[in-house]
Order: sequence, then C-alpha cells, then structure tokens
Amino acid sequence: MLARVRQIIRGTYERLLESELSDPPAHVAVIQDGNRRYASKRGGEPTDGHRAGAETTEQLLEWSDELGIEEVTLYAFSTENFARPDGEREELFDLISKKLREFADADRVHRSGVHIRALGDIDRLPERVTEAVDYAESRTADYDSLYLNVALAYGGRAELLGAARDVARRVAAGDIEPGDVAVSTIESELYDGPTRDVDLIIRTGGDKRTSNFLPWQANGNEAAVYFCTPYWPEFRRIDFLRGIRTYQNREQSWRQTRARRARALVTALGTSTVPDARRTLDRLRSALPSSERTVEGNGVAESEPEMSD
Amino acid sequence: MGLYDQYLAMRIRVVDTAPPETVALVLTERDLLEDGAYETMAQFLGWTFAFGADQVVVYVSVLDEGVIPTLRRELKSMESSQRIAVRTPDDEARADAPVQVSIGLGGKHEFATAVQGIAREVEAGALEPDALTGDDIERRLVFPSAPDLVVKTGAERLSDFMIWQSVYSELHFTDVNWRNFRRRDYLRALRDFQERQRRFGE
Repeated sequence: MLARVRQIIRGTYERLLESELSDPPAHVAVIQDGNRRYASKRGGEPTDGHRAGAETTEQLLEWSDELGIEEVTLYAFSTENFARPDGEREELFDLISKKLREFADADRVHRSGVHIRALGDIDRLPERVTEAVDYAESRTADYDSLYLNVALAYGGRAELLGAARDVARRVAAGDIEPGDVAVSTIESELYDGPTRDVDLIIRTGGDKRTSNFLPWQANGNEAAVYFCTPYWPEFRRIDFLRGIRTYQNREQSWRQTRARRARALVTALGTSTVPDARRTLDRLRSALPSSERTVEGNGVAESEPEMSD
Repeated sequence: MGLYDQYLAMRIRVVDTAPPETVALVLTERDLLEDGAYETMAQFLGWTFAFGADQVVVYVSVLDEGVIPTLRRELKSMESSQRIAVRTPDDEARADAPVQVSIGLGGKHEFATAVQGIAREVEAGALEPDALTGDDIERRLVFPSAPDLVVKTGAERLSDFMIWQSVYSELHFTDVNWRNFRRRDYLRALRDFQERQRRFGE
C-alpha cells in the first residue's frame, strides 16, 4: 500500500518536473559510476553490478529520446579500466559486446533513429568488442535523430595526445605550417564522435570529478555538471529529470551572471576599454532585473544604438 | 576565529589524508572588481599554504580582454608573501612561481599553443611525431602542475582552464561570493577533499 502511494507521488512529481522542462541540453555526457559498489552493497560480484547498470543505460536512451536530447555520450570503458582484474575486465568486454549487438538490433533504436558510434582507442580492445562496434555502427549509420557515443578505451589525455600527434604528422608531411596550429586545428583531429560540445555532464555514485572524460568538449565548453549520489543501477528517470532541470537553471543564471559581469566591466572601465563587454551587456540585458538594466556613471544610456556589431 | 573554525581546522589536521599540494581557484573578473577582492585573495593564498599546499594556480576568466591590464596591475600590487607569476593570452612562457595566475588564458588556447611549439620542433626535425608523449605536451604547458583540488565560485560548471592538467582533480563548488569567502569556506573545501577517496578511475 505504502509503496503504491509512493509510486503515485513519484509519478506526480515526475510529471511536474517534466512539465517545467523546455529547451533540453543538446548533448549530455554520463559518467555511470557505482556499479561495483552497488553490487557489493548487495553481496554480489562486480559483474552483477555491471549487468544491472546496463539496464539503466537502456532506460537512459529511452528517456533521452523522449526529452528530445540530440546526443548522449556514455563512459563505458576508460583507459584506466584496463587496470581492472582480468576476470572482471573480460566479463565487461563480453557485456559491452552483447549490449552493443542488442542495441543495434533493438526495434526501439531503429524506430527512434539512434546512430551508434564508438569513441576512443578502439584498436586496444579485443576483437569481439571491435566486431560488435562495427556491427552497431554499420546497422545505424544512416540515422541522425539521436547520436549515442559509447566511449570505449577512452581517456581524455589519450585523445588530446592523439590529436597532437596527428597535427605533428601533418606538419611533418608539409601539410600545415606550425604557425597555423590553432584551437580549431586540434578540434579537427579529435576522435570522430561527438559532433557537439557537451552541455551537461552527469555523474552518479557521489564523486565530484570528471575522471579524464571529455576535457576538451566538456571543460572547454564550460559544461554544467550534475553530481548525484545514487549508484548507476539505482539512477531513475526522476534523477535524470533533476539533472536536466539543474542544467536549465544554470543556463538561466548563466545568462544573468554574464550580463552582470558585462555590466560590472562597463561600469568600472567604460565602453571604450571593454567594447566586447558592452556588446554582451546589450545582448543579454533582458536577463537582468529592470533595476540593473542601466549603467550609471559613464553617461551611457540604455537606448544608445549599438553600431559595431 | 570562531569555535567552529577551530573545530574544522582541527579535524583537517588530525585526518591522515594528505592535504592538496596543488590548489586551483577559478574566479571571474567580476569577483575581482568588487571591493575587498584582493584582501580576500591575499588571505586565501595564506590559508592554502598554511594548510599544506605548495602551489596555487588562479584562473580569472574574462568576458573582455580590455580588463586584463587593470587586473594585472592590481594583482602585481597585491601584498603576498609568495612570488606570483601572472600570464595572459599572449604569454607562452612557462609560469614558475608558488602562485601562478592566468588572466583569461584558457585551457584550449594553452593546449593549442603547446602543440604549436611541438609543431615547430617537428618541422625543425628535432621531434618525431610517432615518438610524441604526454611529457612533450606537459613540458610546453604554461601552467605545469596538475591541481589536486579545484575550488570554483559561482555555478556548478566546468571551466576552460588547464584542461589537460585537471582531468583527475577533485572539484569543489561554492556559492559564496568571492569577497565574502572566509577561512571556514576554504576549510570546508579541504574537509570535502579529504573525505573523498581518490581512486583515479580504477
């Protein structure tokens, strides 16, 4: 009885949360932590935890599709995970291969148009995994409604080092000049995979760090982070909705914060010293309460026309 | 200093977890434009070294590079018992001081500049692309240390700062306004840091 009541309450709260959600993040990256701790809490083996976690992963795809998220990146196997005990590692590879094939065959994946891609040093993985990757990628290659990037043998530093090596090779081949190496050059040499910067990183399991996951795409984009305590197999739809809502609140306050920063700069230094700040302020002024919309002291009226954009 | 602060400080000293050696602080230019900001900064530096840090890296993100000369001047005239090295987007020289400050020199930019340096050596025949390692990159970063703890004011967002160096850092977000940031707020960050088990993804 009590469980039933709880379920009704949760359902109502979930609907309320959902009704408040608009403009979801385009790209969500997930660090699915806590499978092993979940299993050990229940007296099971690490592999039991990974299996339970895989079910949550399937649900996550469904939730993302429902909410109109365009890209999801999962941290399935990190470069650090190669250090796991042999037995656990091999079972993880079995599970990943099996799940990739299941996803590639699932009706839901084809109905929703999910495009599956692997992200990482795939060559370091055993053949059964790379074959499953090829299978999943080729079966879903034509879809573009939802991109699912599965990070396998992935490490952020390995990705950055690989990009640096590729740039170095192009220089050695006389393809580009050292002086032309810029942020965009690095960007073009990252793994094929994420097509968008990361908007939101979710990490389950209570830790507050990003563990070598997507430094360029997430840190570089100042992604919002949502750290939560449930272990990955315990992560429910309502936790996901909370994460999304957190992102949206941050987006809103981010605009306001930027507008305030711009206003503080213009007030302290004047428009001629900080023209970019002036433009930012003009663009984001609507995010400020009306009492903060004018700038005093510099003789700059709110209605001054902005010609330089 | 209040009883609560003393209690926090005592807790931190008796726990046998090592304190963070390299501490990073992430601020915005607006934090530093407010009255009292540099006093808080000088105090903050004092607390970090008093609680075992030997390196502090401060990142000040800027909306408009026009503010850089002002911030640089203020930072240079700030009282500090430690040497301070300030770097801005035009600098490539490695920062070498107990306190290192980046004003608007972001992580992507820093990394791209390091790769540019590598590219020059490749062109000169001094470096083989295939032999390139993480050390080659780290040697060319402006801020060489990897932070153990990153303290960030404002919203829970990552920042484009030391993107290579901070991949394993513990993150601590605080919603306290920088000018109101007190010793106890730093102690909370330290306690938070000590309570977490650092597993490096294993």
